[in-house]
Amino acid sequence: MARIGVFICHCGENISATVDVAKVAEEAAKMPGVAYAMDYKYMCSDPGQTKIIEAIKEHKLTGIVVGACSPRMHEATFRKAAEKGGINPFLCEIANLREQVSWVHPRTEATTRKAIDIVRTIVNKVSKDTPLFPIKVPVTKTALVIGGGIAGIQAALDIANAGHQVIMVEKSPSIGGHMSQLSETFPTLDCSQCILTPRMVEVAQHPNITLHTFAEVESVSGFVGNFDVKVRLKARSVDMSKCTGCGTCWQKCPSKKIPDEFNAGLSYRTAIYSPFPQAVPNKPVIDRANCNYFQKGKCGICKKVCPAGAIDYEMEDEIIDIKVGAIVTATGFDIKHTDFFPEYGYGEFKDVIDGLQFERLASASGPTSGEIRRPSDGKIPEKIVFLACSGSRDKAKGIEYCSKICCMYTAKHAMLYKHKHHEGNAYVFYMDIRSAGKNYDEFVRRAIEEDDVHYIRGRVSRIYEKDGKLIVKGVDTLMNAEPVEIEADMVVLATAVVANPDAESVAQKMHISYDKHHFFAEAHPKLRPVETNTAGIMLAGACQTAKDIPDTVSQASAAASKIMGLFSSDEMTREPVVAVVNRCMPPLFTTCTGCLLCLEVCPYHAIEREEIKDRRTGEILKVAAKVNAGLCQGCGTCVAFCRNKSIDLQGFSNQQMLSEVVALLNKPF
Amino acid sequence: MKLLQNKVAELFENGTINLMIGFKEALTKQPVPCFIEKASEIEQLIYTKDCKNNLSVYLHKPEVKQAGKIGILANIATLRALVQLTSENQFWDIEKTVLTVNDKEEVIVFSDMEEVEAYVQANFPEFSEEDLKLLDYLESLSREDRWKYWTEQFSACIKCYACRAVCPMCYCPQCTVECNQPQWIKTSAQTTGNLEWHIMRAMHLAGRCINCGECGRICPVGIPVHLLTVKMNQDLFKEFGTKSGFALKGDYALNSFKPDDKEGFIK
Repeated sequence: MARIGVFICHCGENISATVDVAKVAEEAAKMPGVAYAMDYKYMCSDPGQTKIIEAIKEHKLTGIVVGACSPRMHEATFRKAAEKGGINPFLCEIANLREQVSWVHPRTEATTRKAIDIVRTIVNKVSKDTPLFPIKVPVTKTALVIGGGIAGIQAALDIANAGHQVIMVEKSPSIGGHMSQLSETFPTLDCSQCILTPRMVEVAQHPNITLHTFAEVESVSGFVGNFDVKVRLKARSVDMSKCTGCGTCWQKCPSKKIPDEFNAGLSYRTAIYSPFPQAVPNKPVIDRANCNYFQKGKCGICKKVCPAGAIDYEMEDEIIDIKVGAIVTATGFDIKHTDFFPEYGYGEFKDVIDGLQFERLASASGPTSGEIRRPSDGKIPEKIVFLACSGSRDKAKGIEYCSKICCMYTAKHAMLYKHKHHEGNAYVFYMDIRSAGKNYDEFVRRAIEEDDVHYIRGRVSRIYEKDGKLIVKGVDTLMNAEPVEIEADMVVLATAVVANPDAESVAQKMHISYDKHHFFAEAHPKLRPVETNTAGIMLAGACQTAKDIPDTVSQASAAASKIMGLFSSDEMTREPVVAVVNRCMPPLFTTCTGCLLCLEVCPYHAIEREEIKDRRTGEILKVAAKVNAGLCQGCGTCVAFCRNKSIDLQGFSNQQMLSEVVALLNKPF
Repeated sequence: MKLLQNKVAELFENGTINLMIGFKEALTKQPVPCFIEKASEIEQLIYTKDCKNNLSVYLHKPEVKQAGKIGILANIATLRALVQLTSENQFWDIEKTVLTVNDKEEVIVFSDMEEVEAYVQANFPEFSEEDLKLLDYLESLSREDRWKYWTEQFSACIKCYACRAVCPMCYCPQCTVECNQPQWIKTSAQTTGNLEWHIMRAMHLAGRCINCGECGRICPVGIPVHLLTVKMNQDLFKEFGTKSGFALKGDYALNSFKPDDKEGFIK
């Protein structure tokens, strides 16, 4: 006979303000199988837990029900207490009296009655509970880092420095990401490449890091500690082992009119190219879509001139299989381009550029060697207008969120321009200045007060070209909403930060969730900001939401430390709430028919075919389904699907669930 | 007939089969199943248009499986059942040789299940007119009258489970109705239990029933139980375009998701 203990928590006043907790405990004591019931102000506190532990020992309890907050909150706490009291932790169940009762109802008798009903269902469930034991899963101590921007670089270095193997996959020919394109960084104005490139080199030379550039993740299967990942190594058409990076090929390549992605389209590159001089690895790839040899079948100059014989036109994509224990998703972001703005000329005006293009103009390694010049005629602009919030915080454009970095980089841009051209005029149209961060507001003030940047609070309705000038029509809301018109030589739009175009398909490959803007979703917005809902997959950087470099680096290190924690033991412990195919005596072995239709149903591909064999002869006696406990997430889809109830969910068995329903239906009135 | 018998004799002779499941004449108009274990018994083997039984149901029996190499004389419904059962991974433990007699009275010995699949797809049967007529009539009734019709029908059910025994798709070693931890379905022959049983059976056969109609034919109290699954099949084809017993790589509506599903049933 079950001896169940019921512990009703007041949760301070959270529960007791609307539920008559003493009455609940009193009624619980009368329920069949209940040997002891009590109520207490804070069950989760140390004295509260001690009361549970002592009651288990004193009353020889076989199971306990804690009527408290959501099991998401303190189930683990109370299960630990149950274990300390000497019973299996899975014989402790939570009746959610806070979220499901006190928080959603006023103080009435009915509220207390509902609390009693919920306690009754859980008491009935506990009477059907069986002891469960955690599942141990081995851990592959290799991490996969997807994306080679600053987020990926930081995470990879942290994990590798802790002594674990790291595989980094970057889709473009070089690592470095957006940070390698930046000129100077706020709020210190130190050169972006100077602080980034040593880290890029460190990644390439680190004995624990395997780097795959020009590669993409094809598929991810498996589960935390044991992911199987297929990586497509795209055909570089250049043999990395032979190439010395001498650069003869790209000097001789005749296709020279391809917009250069690294310079944000402000200059041209060749078909065989290395994205930038500090690229890691500094070895070229052939852009087959723009290569004469691949498109028209003739040319072959690079092959002729290559002194190392490294050019290989026959090279094909290669798919490699890797096994990893955890994954850092650091796939970065994209920005809206000027063609997104009809009111600012649909990208037709050459001198209306986005922030990233301005970075390239201001960068010493950029197309103008750091001279800020107009893309249209190469003249030095005398008046530049910067528009913050271009697209961001604009419901009409479908982007309600703040892109976070624009206020800061706009101040930086204006400052860089003023530092280079003291006589020039810089105007900034802004909605609000959001400069929260260490030394951030000081930086903006410096732009306004010391560098004489004109800040105008208002938005710009239209930009048009007139006599080689850009007419910017806006409003100054701090000056009685007076219209403002500026004849500018150049306009820089601080365009919205958006998710990568392929973010959705990446998320689907990884089985992680994402929001409506295709930014990846964290497991909890406050308490688990670097983990995803899929165990073992972490987030770092702007693939989660717009972030600046310090935030990105912090999150990358946090992701790395989560993974180091995971790798700190050889085995991982998992909750045993998994589906199990039943077993019984021969000749039946299991009631499973082996129809295996459930294989298709499982969203985690956790069900496999099992052959039950005679131990001596090896003869197959039965074919049945088998649930891989490591992969199973306990969703229960297969349980609902199985025709003859051969699969059951541990901890939520059919028997247990029905006992809850029965407790509700058979309640005494 | 001689042609068929010769073919089967040949299969026995070259050791392709140890057991032949076919039909023999009976006192009734309709031929009955027969099991031929040696060549001398082949004479009784016949095949006519009246051979209606779905013989694939016997392939689940352990005593039949023991033969190891089994020949089966299949009508079109049986062929569909074999295709469906193959898609449900049921024949891993036997070697079977499938025979049929086509419209031109030619005997076909299929060399593998792919050939059976192709034959089934080329000769895919329509729903029987009689069934469609009754279904149309039931559709024309109001919801209440239809419910009345079925409750009346089911009230006659004596829970003999003949419908289950004759069904080639009901091969579970332990049927849900026999699960008693917890007891899902009342086993006594009374209205609620009967209703639960038939609804559950219809749900479990949705998208799997191959329309042989055996359950309706066998019912000792004459309930047209097969109409439930016929209706299910109609609806599944309408909503998801799936046909049971049609492809070896099963296209089972209940375990698959297609982005272009109409989802017209969600209202």
